[in-house]
Amino acid sequence: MSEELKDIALAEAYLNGELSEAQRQAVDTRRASDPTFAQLLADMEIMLEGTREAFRGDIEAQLRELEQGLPPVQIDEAALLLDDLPEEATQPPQPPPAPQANAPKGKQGRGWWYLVVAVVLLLLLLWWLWPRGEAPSQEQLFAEYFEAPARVGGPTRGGDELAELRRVAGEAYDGKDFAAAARYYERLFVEYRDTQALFYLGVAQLGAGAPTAAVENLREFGQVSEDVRFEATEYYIALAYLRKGEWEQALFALEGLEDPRANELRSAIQKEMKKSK
Amino acid sequence: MHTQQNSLKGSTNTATQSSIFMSGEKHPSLPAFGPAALKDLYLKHRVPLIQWLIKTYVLDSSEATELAQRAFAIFVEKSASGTLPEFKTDSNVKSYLFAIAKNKARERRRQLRKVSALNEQQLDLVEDIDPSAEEEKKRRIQLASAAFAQLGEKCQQLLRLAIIFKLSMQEIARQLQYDNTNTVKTRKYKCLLRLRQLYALSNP
Repeated sequence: MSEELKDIALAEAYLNGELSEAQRQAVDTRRASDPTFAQLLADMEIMLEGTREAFRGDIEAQLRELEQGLPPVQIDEAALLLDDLPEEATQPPQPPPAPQANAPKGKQGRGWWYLVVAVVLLLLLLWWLWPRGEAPSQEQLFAEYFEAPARVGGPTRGGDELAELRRVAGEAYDGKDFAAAARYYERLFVEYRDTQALFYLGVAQLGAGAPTAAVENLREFGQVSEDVRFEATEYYIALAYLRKGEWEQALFALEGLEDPRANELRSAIQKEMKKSK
Repeated sequence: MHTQQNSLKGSTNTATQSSIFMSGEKHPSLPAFGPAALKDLYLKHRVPLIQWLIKTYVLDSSEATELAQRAFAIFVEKSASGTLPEFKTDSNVKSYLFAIAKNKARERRRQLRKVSALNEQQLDLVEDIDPSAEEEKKRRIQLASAAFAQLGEKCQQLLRLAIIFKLSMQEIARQLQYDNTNTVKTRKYKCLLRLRQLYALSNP
């Protein structure tokens, strides 16, 4: 093999972490003193990643081609709502029947017809409004599945204002004084841009009975945080929707989670939804 | 020796394995990874993943589809190189796909925020601003990817088997019908050299 090919082999082994410590040090030393070799190392890193990128591009091209034959995926909020309505309510409005030559005429005939329609509508309305026990089961499910997660990091020590704020927030949270904890965590986020506080703020708001704010903050935490608390964030978002009575949204948040508790909650929600239908 | 059959390390779920890697099909460029298996994987998880992206990151359908496809591509690449975690059930596969998509969606959001943080005056000057190191690296990787497409089919296959699938020299020699592993090694480094030359032409 030529020297050039040997250098390529050496660079690849270095980048793949296949060299011994002594060999690595030798490569580092050479890189510092030999600009041509340093350039080769930099280029080889790009070549390896470029090869992977080409592979990913190939897969994406196959999927784009496949996608062309499929209907676009949409979320139709209106359709989601209509799914909960009785079947006849989802039918498109029918045009009024054409007047018939032998139809009974006069105010009295039409009056009976209006009365029947009014009674049917009233019955439908009563059926729709009749309590079916969703609220209690929703509350029960929430109580059963909501438990504030233990804080990561433990008690905070230190004398400065930030540390003090973290300490009191933690104490309130651990003592299940969620309303106070929410206030402290909000300050931690707003005044100190502590993104970790967003997660506990969301959970505390949920515990304090403010599910809408909890969803917003947990969503924001999901977007700004760099950690891997993905499962927990989605789980508490699901609980917040459950608290709001938005079953479909709760199921949506649980979609794709693998935690056994999340799976249990999903099954319980599905069961309740079936029952209420 | 790494083979596709052990890509889902230790998996006990036959359905999960067979749905992706054990279809027995051969694809000219993706050994033991058939287009039908890729299609199965995509069709199985496409709708919930795209819907989740639309809802969670307030994307339109085409943006979400693009991100989802990226997530699938990364998943397949990780699977090919044997770097996926152990999956015991199909829901683990789904969860992992969602996590990849989430990271991609965040990356996209960060990029958009970076752009929107520039005021108009800065946007006027944007051509004079040096791209960040990260963006420059991405640009170079795209160039290398384009250079890869210019390689001959044999070189492409060899590099794919070595770099993506991380097959041993013996396995590559067997699959590509080379006489011995020394030939494979030399060919591989020559292909990398050729790739670097093509890349240098597009990035003077």
